[in-house]
Amino acid sequence: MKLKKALEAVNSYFDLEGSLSKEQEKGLDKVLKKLNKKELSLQEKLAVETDSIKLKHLEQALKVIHLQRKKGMQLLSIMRKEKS
Amino acid sequence: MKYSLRRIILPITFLLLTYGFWVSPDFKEISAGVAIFLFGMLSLEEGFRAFTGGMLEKILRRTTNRLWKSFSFGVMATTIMQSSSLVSVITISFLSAGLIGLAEGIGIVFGSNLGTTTGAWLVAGFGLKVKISAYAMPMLVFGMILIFQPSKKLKGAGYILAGLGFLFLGVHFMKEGFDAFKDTLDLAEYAIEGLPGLLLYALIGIVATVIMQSSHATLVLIITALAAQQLSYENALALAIGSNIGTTITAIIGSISSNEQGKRLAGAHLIFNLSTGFIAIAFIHQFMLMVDVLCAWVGIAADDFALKLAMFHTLFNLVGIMVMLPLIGRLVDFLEKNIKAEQNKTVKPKYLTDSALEFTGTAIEALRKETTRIYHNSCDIIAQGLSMTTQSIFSTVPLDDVIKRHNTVIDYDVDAAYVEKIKGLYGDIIIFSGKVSVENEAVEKLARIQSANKKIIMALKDTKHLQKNISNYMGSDNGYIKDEYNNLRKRIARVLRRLNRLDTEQQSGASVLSFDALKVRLQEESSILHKRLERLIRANHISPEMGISLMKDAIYADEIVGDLIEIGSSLFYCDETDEVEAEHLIALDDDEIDEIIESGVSK
Repeated sequence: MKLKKALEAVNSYFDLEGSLSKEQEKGLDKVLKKLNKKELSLQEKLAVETDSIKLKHLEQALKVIHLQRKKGMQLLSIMRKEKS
Repeated sequence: MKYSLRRIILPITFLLLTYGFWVSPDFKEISAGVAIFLFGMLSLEEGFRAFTGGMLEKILRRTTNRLWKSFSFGVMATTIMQSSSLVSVITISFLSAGLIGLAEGIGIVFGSNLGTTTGAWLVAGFGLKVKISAYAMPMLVFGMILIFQPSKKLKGAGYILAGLGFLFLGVHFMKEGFDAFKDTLDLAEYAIEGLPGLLLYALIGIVATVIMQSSHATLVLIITALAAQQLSYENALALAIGSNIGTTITAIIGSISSNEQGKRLAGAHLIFNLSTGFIAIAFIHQFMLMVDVLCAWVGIAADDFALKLAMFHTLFNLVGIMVMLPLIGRLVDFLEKNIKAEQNKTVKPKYLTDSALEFTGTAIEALRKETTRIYHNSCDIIAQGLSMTTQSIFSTVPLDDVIKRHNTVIDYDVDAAYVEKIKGLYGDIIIFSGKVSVENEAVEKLARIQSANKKIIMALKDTKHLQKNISNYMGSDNGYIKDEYNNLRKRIARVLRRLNRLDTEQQSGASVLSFDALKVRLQEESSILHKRLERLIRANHISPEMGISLMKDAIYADEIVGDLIEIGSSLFYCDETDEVEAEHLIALDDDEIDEIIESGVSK
């Protein structure tokens, strides 16, 4: 089992394209997690904000993050589908 | 003169060698050993270059922020790659591209001087005691099979394996040659004692290393000759000192095509190795005594001169480092004072050097840094084109106050400034980009930098158009049109200020994606401005001519801020992390920004 894993690791290291897409996937995953956290914290701020201008800016920022996350998740699912 | 000398030297060398081969088959064997060894070095360097596309750059970026780290990197990299030349070339390349500072570069060079001494230990301790030609054969076979593989990394591994095979084979031939040589001619008879011998052999060591451009090859030659008793121990030590000085030739040659930083590094390398050489010659007897004591302590036989030479090589380099390491700060000051950057009226590229082209990573970074320079110059032009200064825009003074302070037109020729500060650099960037050997992962980065350059030019073009009416209406009696033009100035100034903050505080957690919110805000402002403009015309506050000018100029302003944001997202976030790449993938495009505006949140 260990040998099989070691062989896989060596193969993926030498397979440039494969390792590239893996890195992209890993990066996307990390960014999506960060965006998720950011979205939650913005929602919390939005719930307590009373100033109308700040409220508008927060709503706008939330929309942006929501769309970025949606785009990222779509990309990630395409990547995973291609891989499988 | 130089050319004709070069034309004569080569045939004379060939003739002398041919004569030598004809007279002595042993000399032929030794020479073939040196040639195979050097070929092995080349192959090894080629192999390690295959891994410089990412891994080496990443390690270098992360491990050279402190002097001790860069020193350790120099020791480790040279020990692993067994080539101080390659480490020198990489360091000059990184230094030229502005990826590391001079002090860190010097640290790497000092470290590589110590790392290279492991070669002597390997040859003296392993190469001469084991029949290494037996290891060479399978290495060559496996190496060659790997070289024919399509994967770049497998190919690189093949070159490394074949390189090691050739190195072993070279050592074997040198050893055999010297062993046979001693039956016909005893070179040790020509040994010269005392200071004259020391100086003469040091000089021979320098010349031999300059010719072969490899201190490793000289050292192996010395060790094999010493093991075959063809050299006296004292003369071998002098040769080793000479080879240490001669090895700086690689850095000197490499620095010719680099900028002032590369030249300073080569200067540091030469000063360090010369000082170390002088120390070794001045205290040769003390060093020899110390070598005897240390060798006895670690169990090396008193007559094992090859290992004693390796000990001496390590010891005098170590002493040199101990003496020079505390003086790095002064060395940097001295080099910066004496090797100055070229001064010129028109701006010259600072990072686009041939040595930065050695590796894709450094070439891309050099392009990014040069583009950032163009961007900074363009900020000056845009600010002055709008009758302001970057100094006041980047200050903490509220922008309304900045606009109020700069209420008179600055007579500024955008075209002349473009020619002086941008055009030449832009041309150099285009030429340099064409020379970069772009690999898979670098295509996107290069495209982003090229796009940033285009956007800079477009932003300047729009500034030029905008400047004309700003100058006309800044002093207008019509307060409405004056305010609207000041709003346009403020809008651009706000983006410049924001980008400057992101540029200078890149660690603050902001990212490529943070530009999207800015884009939404600006687009929203733009639509508000257009609505206000219609109202102003309808209410006859401004004439239709003024309205047309303002409408056109509002579009120019939109384009300038749009371009500036694109430039920022392309240039400021460039770390080679998978996260940054992913952020570029999911950053919103214009349609998606429109989608957010239209979704009604901003109403």
